[in-house]
Amino acid sequence: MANIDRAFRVIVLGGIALATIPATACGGTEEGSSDAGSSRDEGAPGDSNFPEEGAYFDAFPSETAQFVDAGFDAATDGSAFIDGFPQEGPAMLDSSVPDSNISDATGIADGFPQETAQLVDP
Amino acid sequence: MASRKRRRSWSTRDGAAMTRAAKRARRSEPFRVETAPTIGGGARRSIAWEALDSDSLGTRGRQTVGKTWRERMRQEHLAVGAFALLARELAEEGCDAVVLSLITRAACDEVRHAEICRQFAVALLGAADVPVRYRGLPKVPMHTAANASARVLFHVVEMCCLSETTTGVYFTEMLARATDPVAREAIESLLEDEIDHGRVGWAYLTQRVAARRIAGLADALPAMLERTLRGVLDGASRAHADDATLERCGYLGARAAAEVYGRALRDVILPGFDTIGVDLRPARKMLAERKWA
Repeated sequence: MANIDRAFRVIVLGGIALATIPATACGGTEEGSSDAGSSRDEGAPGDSNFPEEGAYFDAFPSETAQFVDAGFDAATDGSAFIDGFPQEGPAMLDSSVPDSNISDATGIADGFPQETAQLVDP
Repeated sequence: MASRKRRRSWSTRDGAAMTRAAKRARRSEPFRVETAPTIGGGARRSIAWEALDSDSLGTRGRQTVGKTWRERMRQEHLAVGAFALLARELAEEGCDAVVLSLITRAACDEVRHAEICRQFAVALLGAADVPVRYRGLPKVPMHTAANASARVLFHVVEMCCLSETTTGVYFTEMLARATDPVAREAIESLLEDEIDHGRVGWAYLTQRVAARRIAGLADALPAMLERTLRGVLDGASRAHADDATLERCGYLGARAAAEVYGRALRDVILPGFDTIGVDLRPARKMLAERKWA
């Protein structure tokens, strides 16, 4: 096993070291609807538009994201499963069937997002 | 062991003590030699895939290892959506600039990771058996009973402090066992970013603890740990014996993965929560019941 204590120092203590602990901590400047006259709260009621960084609102990325040729679904749509965050480490293939096709849903451990994967129109 | 006792001795929920913890951590040397978090930065490597010694794995070994990289490609794609969600939630909630920078950068990192995993899988399985790309989003728990502030904390903790931290430990171990130069290059390229993906979670959690804004986290942790660990830790009991000959080319068997996850839980994650001052009583109760720690 690689040096696990070093992993603690690098990831956990390294993360803690990144944290600044100001008096206001992580809350930032909070300006709600009671901050009359302030325009710094980008999420204030009435400010319903996305930031205007360009004139082409009708060219949203979400439109083009549907065009995936020869792709695979990484998640099902309409599934009732709420599984958790992806895990990039162990590939959750069913280790009892190491050569099973990954498109086989029974070959994926339950409770994780990969269970929801389905192959689509390769 | 002594150092662990020392770490826990300054565990506290007090903000002043957290500041001391941050200062002490900053004085610690090792993490400085790792990839420094930079806005818009990240690892970039040119990997000579054609030099991967896949023949040494044999046909069956190439299939086994290649499928894990193809599956990892899908996970990396799902992580793009997960970090994009976190970025949106953090932007709404407000957080330190370094946290928001690292989270938004992570979404971009994962796009590159998916491509690295795709190329790794293609090198082992052939292009015909690997999708050009994936589409879709992860279905993450939305904690509907929690308010927005608690929800983003829970999401960052589950994605970064748990999932990405264990991933970092996992890739560290995979790298330690890999001997093929090309495989090592690919793993290092992923690992460089994963370290920061874990760190940012601990940074954000530290800030939330210091601000005394972690209500509900202790009770939410058991389910988060369950989701993160269950597949790997329980999967090992159903697994065949690991084939160590595959490890040279970027592979850990199910039992090795479970060992890594167990060590990451006991020696990295739980001490991390202890250090920052998160109440672990509900989590430890669940872990004891499951015999995971």
